[in-house]
Amino acid sequence: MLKRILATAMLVAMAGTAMAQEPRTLTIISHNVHKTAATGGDLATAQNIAGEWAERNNVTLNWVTLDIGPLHDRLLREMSLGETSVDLAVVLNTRVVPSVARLLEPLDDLMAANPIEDLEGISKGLLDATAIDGKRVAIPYRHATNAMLYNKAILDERGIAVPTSLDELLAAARAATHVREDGTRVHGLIITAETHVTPLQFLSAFGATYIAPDLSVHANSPEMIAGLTELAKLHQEGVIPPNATTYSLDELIATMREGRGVFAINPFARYTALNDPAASLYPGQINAIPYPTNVAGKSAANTEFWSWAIPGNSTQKELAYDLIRELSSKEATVRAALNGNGPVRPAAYDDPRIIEKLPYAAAEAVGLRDASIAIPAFDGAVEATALFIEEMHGALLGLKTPEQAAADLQTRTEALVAKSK
Amino acid sequence: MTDLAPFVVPNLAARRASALVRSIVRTFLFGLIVVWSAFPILYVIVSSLKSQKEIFKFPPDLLFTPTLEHYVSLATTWNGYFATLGNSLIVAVGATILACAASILSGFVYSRYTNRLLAGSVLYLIAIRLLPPIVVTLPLFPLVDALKLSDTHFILIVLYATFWVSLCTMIMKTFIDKIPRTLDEAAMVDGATTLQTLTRVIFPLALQGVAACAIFVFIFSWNEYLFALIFTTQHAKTAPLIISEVMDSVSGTNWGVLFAGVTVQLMPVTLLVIFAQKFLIAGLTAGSVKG
Repeated sequence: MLKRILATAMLVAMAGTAMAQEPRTLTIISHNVHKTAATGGDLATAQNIAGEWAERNNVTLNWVTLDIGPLHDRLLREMSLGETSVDLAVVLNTRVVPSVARLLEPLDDLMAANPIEDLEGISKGLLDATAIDGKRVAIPYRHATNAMLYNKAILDERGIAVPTSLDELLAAARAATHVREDGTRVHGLIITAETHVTPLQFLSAFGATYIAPDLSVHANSPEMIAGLTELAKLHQEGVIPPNATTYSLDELIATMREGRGVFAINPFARYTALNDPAASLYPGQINAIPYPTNVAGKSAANTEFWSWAIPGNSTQKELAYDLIRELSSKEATVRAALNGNGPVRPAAYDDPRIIEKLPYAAAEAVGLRDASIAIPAFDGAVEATALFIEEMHGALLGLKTPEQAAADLQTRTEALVAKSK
Repeated sequence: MTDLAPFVVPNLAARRASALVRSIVRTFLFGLIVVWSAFPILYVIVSSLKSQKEIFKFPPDLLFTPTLEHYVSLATTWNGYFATLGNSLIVAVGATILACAASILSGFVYSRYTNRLLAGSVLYLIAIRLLPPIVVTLPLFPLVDALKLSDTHFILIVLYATFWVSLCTMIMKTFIDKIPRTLDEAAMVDGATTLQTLTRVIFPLALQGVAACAIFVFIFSWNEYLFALIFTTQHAKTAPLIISEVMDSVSGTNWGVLFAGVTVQLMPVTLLVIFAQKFLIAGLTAGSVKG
């Protein structure tokens, strides 16, 4: 009896303490897309996953949203302090490198105490890329896997079939390049060559790899030279826009929406923006398919992804981890995908809600299956992207022969990797 | 008279023709500069009123049905924008007041007193302006954090004022140099203290310089991005940070919302410059003519 009374009294006291607790504030630094994925933003069909968790745990979420560069700049500055007010952050895969990982909280102990539901269900390649020196420092959350986007209306108008192999794609891009009656030039292939991602995607279809996961450099391979040679030819022929080296994502979107581009390399998720009836002259006419190779049934896909991580100097690590657990669950992954997130669990693509909402779901599942990380995580990863861009531009613009560019890239990257090891 | 006519008339006609040509060239160049300066602003404003599809349409439609959809979207999707405009205003006004107050005092000292220390410190003032702001942020970030000043209006006000006080000091010195010292002496003969001389004699006469400094500091503080990015997160976040977020490198820029945000951001500064342009010109040309 006494035990019962004591237990009841303790429960009442604990409940009273919990009720009297001030709501805690959890500060999250991310890009706006992650906030939208976790909360639904202002979507009519918003799935407020993080908001529901916050309400259950009496937590106020303080989102600090920044664009990619400023986000990492701010995060690194915060992690250099003795203590930071940032409790949770998203990091791009190229920034999850050993020097940064040392500033992040290893999640292994937290995961051992409170495991993440079906961790193995998250794409293995992404999981492997976020474990540094045997320690798990981040949990993948959003992927952007590259696809082949094409304007079906223009292909039909020009009598061109949807390509199923790399050779067909190159031929189709050449055939689709033309000048309209009003003088508008229509380019067969649009890539954003101001960054490394889409050119590496283009080259990977030739079988080229820049840096392998074991950090061996393959920039001077025959596949890379073949890819660079084709890229330069396409540029000379006007299939790729003359200003390709400065082509940004915004220009790619505008070009495709206005029908000035026929094929484009960009993530599957761009489907929505390109088919937006309020902004596109071709709503519902732009499709997304896995990027074809000359090997039947095999696509080429580079992927970039974002992960949740906890700064090592955060003061609320357990609370932050609890939110990571919530956002990484199977159901939350599907719900975030309905908010527009790229789900890192391949099984999510089988969910009827996703199949209904995303017309490209099946294609993206194939793309994710074949995907590889554009550049592996090592301390010189960001510099390696800069080297690649420089040499690729040299080849594309004809300033160097593809052979010379590939050889120079090999030499410079090998030195960089050696220095970074 | 008749003998002179052949000489005078062609000369007059030639001068008139020359004046006409000069006038045409001047008008053309003036028009060119106006178009060069005003076109980007007009383009932004007009684009903010177009539908998304019409913004980049080529050839552009000169006549279109204006829409406020982007302003609505700015207020709903980027609902923090208008709150950050309030922060921008607090910071810009605060920095302007602080910088002007400090510059009047220092400008007075540099104008009216001379010694080696002051001469040396002028070099220091100019050298400070040569430092790229990003360099300053490296040691400042941990310091500001340790002082618990991160994400406060106060830190931005102090930083912006500090950044401009050197140039404003030079502007104020130039203005105060033009005020005859005999006025100071007359005030002192009448029993005024140095501070009274400054506030009651010098300050009213140097008001044009103060206005020029105020405009410079306000415009800088209103538009500044780097310090705001590094030293604020939420409570003191300013409007340029939201605009940079609209220029999204993950999802692509929402151009209509961007143009709407830029239009709102531009308005106070544009109106300020239009209404206070004579002070601005006075500030830019201060000390350019000796006499």
